[in-house]
Amino acid sequence: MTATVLTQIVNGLSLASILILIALGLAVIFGLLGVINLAHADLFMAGMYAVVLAQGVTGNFWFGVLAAPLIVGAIGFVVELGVVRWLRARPLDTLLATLGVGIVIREGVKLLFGAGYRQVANPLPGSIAIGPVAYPIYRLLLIAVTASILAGLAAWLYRTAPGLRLRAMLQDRETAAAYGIDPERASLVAFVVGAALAGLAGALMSPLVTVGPDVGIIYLARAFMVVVVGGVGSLLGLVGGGVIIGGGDTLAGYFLNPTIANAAVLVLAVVILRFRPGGLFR
Amino acid sequence: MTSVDAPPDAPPGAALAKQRRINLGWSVLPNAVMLALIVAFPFIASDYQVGLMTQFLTFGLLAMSLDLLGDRAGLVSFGHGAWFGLGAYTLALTLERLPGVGGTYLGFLLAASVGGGFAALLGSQLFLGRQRVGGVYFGIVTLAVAAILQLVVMGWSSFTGGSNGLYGFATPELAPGLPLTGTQAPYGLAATVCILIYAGLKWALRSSLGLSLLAARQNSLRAEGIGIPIGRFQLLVFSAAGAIAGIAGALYIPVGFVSPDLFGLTFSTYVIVWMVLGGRGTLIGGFLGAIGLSFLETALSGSFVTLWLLMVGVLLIVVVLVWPRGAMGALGAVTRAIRT
Repeated sequence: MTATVLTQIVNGLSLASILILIALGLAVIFGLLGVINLAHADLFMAGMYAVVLAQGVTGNFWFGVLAAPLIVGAIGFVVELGVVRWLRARPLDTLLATLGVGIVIREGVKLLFGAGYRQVANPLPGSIAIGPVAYPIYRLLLIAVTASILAGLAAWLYRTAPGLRLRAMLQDRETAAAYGIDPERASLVAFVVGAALAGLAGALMSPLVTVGPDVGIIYLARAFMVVVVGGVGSLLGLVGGGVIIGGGDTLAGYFLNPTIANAAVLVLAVVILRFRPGGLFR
Repeated sequence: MTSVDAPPDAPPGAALAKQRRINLGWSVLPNAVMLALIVAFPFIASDYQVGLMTQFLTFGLLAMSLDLLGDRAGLVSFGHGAWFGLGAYTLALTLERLPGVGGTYLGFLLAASVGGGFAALLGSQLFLGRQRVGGVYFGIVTLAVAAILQLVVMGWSSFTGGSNGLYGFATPELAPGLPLTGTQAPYGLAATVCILIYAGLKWALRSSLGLSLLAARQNSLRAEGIGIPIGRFQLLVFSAAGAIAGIAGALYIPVGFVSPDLFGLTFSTYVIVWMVLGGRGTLIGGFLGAIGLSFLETALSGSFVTLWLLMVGVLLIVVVLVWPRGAMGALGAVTRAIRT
């Protein structure tokens, strides 16, 4: 019994950290720019293919993890300069345009790599004993990595000059500009960081899923909910959202058919959004 | 055909007065051409093409309802395909239990009510509360709702057939001895319904209620100030769009099967692409966009499809960035240039 409970707790923690990891890039772009990036799922997927590519060339998984944020960040650079910055006054059109960006990335990957599925070998296949339970090392590593990325992001936003500039821009674009902050540049930085985080998440997730051009879509709805349920623009809210959606999913999945559990958690998220549109933790 | 958006500096009412004059002379002709094409199509095209066209008409109707939602409520649904799916599954499930003429009419009625009712239920929660859930949040919610419905359809396989979908249900019948089989009867029904709904919407949108809806969308702050209940208006438009999408889904049934893909993000993305490329705020733009793009896609086969979709993505970005009015807007600009 204790073993089952413990397994479920670690499962919940693992899923929560995975969802937070996936939602990070979305949260940064939404929180700092107010832009909902519908290409997020496809940037995430592009990160996986960066690993496929790097592993194919060098044979080393970790090299792919390094390459993914660079490659996907570069895509983000182009997307911000070419698309997102021109639509600042039209938020709904930003959704439509990023939807188009997503299609381009997805079909581009299909052209380059084919539509077939790929497998990325798990670099750390073993398990570790936590009390009576053996748990896969790689999933435990992901929990630690997510926590460190969160800490790094918080440090960057709250302890460094670029972070300060971003927060100033978020509070008041014009006043920030009057104080010598270039809002265009700050926006570019935020978007590139968000895209790079999406790519990093994809790279780290690649050993746990079957890599295919449509893989990101499965996570899109849940990633959105993780961001909005906790409250847009707060890292704490992001963690809260991840724990609610990930934990809820694991808990419901223990009692229900996993598909229905998945649906139930999304229903919960919609209900939360209806009563607390600003998120739970604000 | 032209949108009734007034230029920002025009005096109030000027655009509408001009619009009336234009409507009398100029919008009869394209409508007549469209009507003639739809009527003539089964006589000039092959059976295969008529079958495809029937399917594309239902897509067109769906895109039209999404455009209605955007034009009169300022909302974009990223899960609009789910309402189409609801309509299709409703008719299929009804026909499974009650074959024949009665089941067909009951199924269509249920498809419209389930589509409209579900939108009304969701809309009452989103629009009538103290804090309206609109704009981009509405987009996220509809995306999630479509995902939820898809998961439920996949998970509840004893009722919905799960990931295999539903097939083998009774053929719908319009009257004893008039089943919706082959190509002509389904085409006739789909075309008739599309024309009736388009004409009805055109009429409704020119009524005073339709214009108030437009006012509420264009300047919600001012509209609210003069006492227009925006939330209830959005609810009304969303319900109507849901009901029309449900009917469109029911019209899809002669294809012979329904699958959970109808609830998927990909299908809903298509609907948005049809609407945006066809031209927003015109009703007919999305309709024609759906038909035109679907025909092009079937004409291209094999590895071309990926290249085609890549092009569609690029086109979507370009149209949103530099020509938000889409193909119909371009057509309108051309005809205006010819006239002056």
